[in-house]
Amino acid sequence: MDKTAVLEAIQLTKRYENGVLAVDNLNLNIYPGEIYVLLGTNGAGKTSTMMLMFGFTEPTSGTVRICGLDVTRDPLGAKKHAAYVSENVMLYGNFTALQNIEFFAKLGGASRSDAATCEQFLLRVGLPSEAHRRRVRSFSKGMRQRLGIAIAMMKNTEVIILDEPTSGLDPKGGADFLDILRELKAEGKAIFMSSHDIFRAEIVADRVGIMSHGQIVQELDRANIGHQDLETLYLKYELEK
Amino acid sequence: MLMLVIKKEILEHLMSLRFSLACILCFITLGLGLWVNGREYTENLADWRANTTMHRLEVEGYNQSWMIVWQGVKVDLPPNIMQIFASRRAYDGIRTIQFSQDFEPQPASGATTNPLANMFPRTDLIFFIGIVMSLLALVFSYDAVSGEKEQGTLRLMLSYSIPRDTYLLGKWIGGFISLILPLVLGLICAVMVTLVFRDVHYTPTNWMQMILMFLFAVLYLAAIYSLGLFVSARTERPATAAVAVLLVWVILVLAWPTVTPYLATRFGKASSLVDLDKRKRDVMKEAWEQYKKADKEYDKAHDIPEMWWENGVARDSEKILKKRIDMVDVELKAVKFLAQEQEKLNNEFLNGMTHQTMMGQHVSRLSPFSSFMYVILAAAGEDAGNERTLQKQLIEYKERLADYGFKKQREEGEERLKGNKKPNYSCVDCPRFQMPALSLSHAMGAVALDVALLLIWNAVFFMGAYMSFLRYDAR
Amino acid sequence: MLGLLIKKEIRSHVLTYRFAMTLVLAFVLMLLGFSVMTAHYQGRMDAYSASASGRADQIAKIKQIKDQQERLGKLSELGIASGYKPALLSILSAGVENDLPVESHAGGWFSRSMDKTRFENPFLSVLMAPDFTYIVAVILSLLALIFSFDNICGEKEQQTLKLALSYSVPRHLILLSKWIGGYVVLICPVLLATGVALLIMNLQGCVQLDPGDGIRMVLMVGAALVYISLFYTAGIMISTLTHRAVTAMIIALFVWAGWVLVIPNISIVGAKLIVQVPTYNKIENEKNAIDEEIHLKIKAISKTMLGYGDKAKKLQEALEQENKQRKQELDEFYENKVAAQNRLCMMLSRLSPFAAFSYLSAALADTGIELFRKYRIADKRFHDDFRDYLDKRWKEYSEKKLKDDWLKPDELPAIIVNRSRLEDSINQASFDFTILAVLNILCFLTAFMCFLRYDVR
Repeated sequence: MDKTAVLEAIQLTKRYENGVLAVDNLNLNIYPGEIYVLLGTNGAGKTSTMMLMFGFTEPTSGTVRICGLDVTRDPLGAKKHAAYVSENVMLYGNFTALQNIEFFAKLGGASRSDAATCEQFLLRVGLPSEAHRRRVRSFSKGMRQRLGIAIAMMKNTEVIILDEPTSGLDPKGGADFLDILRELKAEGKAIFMSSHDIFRAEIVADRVGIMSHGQIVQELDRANIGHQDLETLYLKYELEK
Repeated sequence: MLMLVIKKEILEHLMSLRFSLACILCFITLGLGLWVNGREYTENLADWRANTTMHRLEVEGYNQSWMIVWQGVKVDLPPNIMQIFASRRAYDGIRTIQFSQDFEPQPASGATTNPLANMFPRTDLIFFIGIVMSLLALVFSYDAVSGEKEQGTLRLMLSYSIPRDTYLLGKWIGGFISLILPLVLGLICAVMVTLVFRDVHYTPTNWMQMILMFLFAVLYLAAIYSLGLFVSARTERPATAAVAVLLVWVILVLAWPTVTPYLATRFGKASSLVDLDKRKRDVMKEAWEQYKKADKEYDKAHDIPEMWWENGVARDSEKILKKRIDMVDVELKAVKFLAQEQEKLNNEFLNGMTHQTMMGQHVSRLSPFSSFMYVILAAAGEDAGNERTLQKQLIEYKERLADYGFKKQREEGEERLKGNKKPNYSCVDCPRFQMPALSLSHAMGAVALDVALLLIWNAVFFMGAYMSFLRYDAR
Repeated sequence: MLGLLIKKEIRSHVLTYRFAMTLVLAFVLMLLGFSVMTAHYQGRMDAYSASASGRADQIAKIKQIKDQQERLGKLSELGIASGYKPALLSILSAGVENDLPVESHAGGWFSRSMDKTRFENPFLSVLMAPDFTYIVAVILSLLALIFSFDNICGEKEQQTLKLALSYSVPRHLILLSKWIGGYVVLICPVLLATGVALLIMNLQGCVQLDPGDGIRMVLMVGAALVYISLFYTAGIMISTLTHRAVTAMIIALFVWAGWVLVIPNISIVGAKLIVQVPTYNKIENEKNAIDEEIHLKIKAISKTMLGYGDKAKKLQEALEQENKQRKQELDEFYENKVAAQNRLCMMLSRLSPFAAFSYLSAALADTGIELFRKYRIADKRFHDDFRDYLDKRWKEYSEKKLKDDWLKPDELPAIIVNRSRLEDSINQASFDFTILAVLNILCFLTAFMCFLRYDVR
């Protein structure tokens, strides 16, 4: 791809106070219109990488850039260009789905955050109309994930960062979710997600990065994913170290 | 963006369980409590009116000169309407002061305390806002930050381009408004309830006092609220925050202020009341001895036999009548001497006691609740400064009464000397006691330290919350 | 099985922050509270000794006067004082002791009352005394609730409850083990702290315990344990009624605030509204009015019936008797009204275990309302007895029957407050104790039944 990267990690390192090296000299470039899946077991460093992307944690060294803006130096500017979906979307339980998305839409500075637009987004992610005015506390996990992605979509950013979005979803929920991601990719958004779900990664990713002990040990293109057995690779790097 | 966060905070709180419970508490406790206090006030006011008339008639009915001097005058102090909102003790009725020649002004009512009322704290603003609402303030704020973190919404919020300080400020303002709302409504209701009583009239000064009390309440609750926010921004989970916050509250509000008045006695040695009483009685004896000596000397100088009433000298003989007139000055002097000496002893004792009390107060100021209590009492006019002014006025009135009484005695004596067996003796022009006006500025000046402390607590806790939140781990 | 569960409960509790907090707080508060109250008691004992020695000195001085008439005159002029010996157990339960004057003065030409408003630390009466009763009733009750409010629903949120119930453990055993384990961990620091504080108090010079006092103290501590257990059980009950720890905490706090802060106040308020008592001022004014009325009537008699003679005297006596009787009736009316209001207040306030425990504690320490009533009666008797004493001596003097050494210190009246016997105190305390015990059982039964049907999903 010859477009400029919208999400960059440059020699990103994070060592925690207890000495654990969670991210080790990570280099990443994510381009618009692609889905990049960061694959790895629990403890590989995926979550730490996610935290570093938004500046939730400060890197020990290295930089993260979103659309060219350094997250550490210009956090407010950088955050305008990326949206976040957490692993377990909880939101404000006492508010309805509509109230939640309206609030976050306004927070993101959306020019059109009226109820109609919000409802469109909710329908787009597969939330039926009768759920729009129900309290989020009563939602199932799948519905909450959909709401999370709808909120991210309303933010209308170039980059969407998701932390293990399909964990805990049933096959239908997972498949629907991936459909939404493909739509967003078609719109030209860059999607960066972490996962340990090899099979879904195979289906949806344009590129896969296998992460192990804080480093990306192998990066595979769409073309190569089909040929290689991801599972074998995945386990290989686990057993090696 | 700030407004957005504030609105969301208020909305979230309005739908919560704690808000509804807070409303119930505010309305019931404040409403009932202030109603009963208002009723007590009207009863005391009625008593005061009845007593003032009765005692005035009594004085005006005096038809012998010795009555005003020996039987004396009873003065009833009007009840302070602000006691509906705050007072230092559970008063039992109005204060009646007895003035007579050789007693210092002393309480005349044989009122009996109802001890049950003193076993539990009085339902007034000190109790409700100081203790109950401060707990509510902590309940509203202890999980402001750590709760959102646990929910996961903190991370989501921070993935938007909202600066952390805007977010914290929005949380503070939104939560605090939700806390104050039930209080304001409850107070308005309660004040209206007190106005139902016919005799309850608030003067413009009273309204000023009420506004001041409300402002101080807001200041105090803001400090406590910021404390809760501070703890919330330093803990990872609301459960830990809850325990920490309750520990701090127990120490600051329940434990420390209760202990410090008793610690006061450790500072310096004040003389005992028993001792003071004895010394005052000694002074009285001394004055009495002085008088008896002067009496004897006069008798000797004027050739009056000892126990003249048994030795044939008539009560209305010229010698005795003249003696009465002449001795008036001696008596007046003795009375004034006595009053001054007694006040001297009182002040000596009080200085020691005030020193102790003040040391106790200083130590108690470690807790914002103590500062709040002092400030509220000052705004209600129940502070030590006003009490001292009152005591000074009482002493001054006693001297005026003494002058008047002995003047009457001299006049009557002179009439009798002229041969008028039944002189026209009326006490209608007996001086009346003027209750000193409340000096609000004076009272406020005395508690300036406490107001400053409350502001400092606010600043400290808020800055603590601010600094902690800026570095808060949002993972 | 139960032993295993209890051990696990104890272990998990000991590792929490709240246990550390309870430990620290219990020690700090008990030691501070006891030390402060003991110093206060010491101060009052000193004042009492000063008063007693002052009285002895005064009597000795008067006795030195040789001339009988002068001696009598001096006694009449000076009057006598009588101090009140503070109750030792007021250290644990201040009750009404702070309202009782240190010294009462009878007779004398210069007798007057002290203006308490002026000569007392004004902040002593705004809040409650930091005695053992207060610490247990207000603070330790909150700690007990904090210990237990999330016992069940917290485990549910942590998913460990589900796991535990997937084993063949009957539900009632789990609940029992939770109750026992948590209570043991809660009680140990409290008992330890109380024990240490009591020990230190005993070692103070001014404190002299007798066996009766010892038994009372043990009973008070026992009652405290039951009271704390009530709040602990209430916390468990709240825990079985809710599914989220946050909700449980808020409910627990409101229950505590309601029981400890609000209900006692509201009941005083309610009692005042329902049983209205005229102010004492009104009663006094009525008594004065009766005095005037009788006085006028007596004057009228002396004018019409020439003032002398048996018939006039008899009428006069009858009128004075009527005066006394009517005033007495007024006093009784007032006393009855106040007593009725107090009874209603106590009844209403017993909705709050805090009030029940306060009454219980005060009854055991003999510093309750009963004491106040007894003191007033003793004070009145002291005044009346002294007046009678003087009258008798003057009569003897006029009949030349006065003995030479008539001024005997033990003959002179004093304020004698009869301390309640242990059985009586226990009797008084039993009703409140029953309330606490019954509430305990109710809470436990509710928790039990709710837990049997608790949804662990």
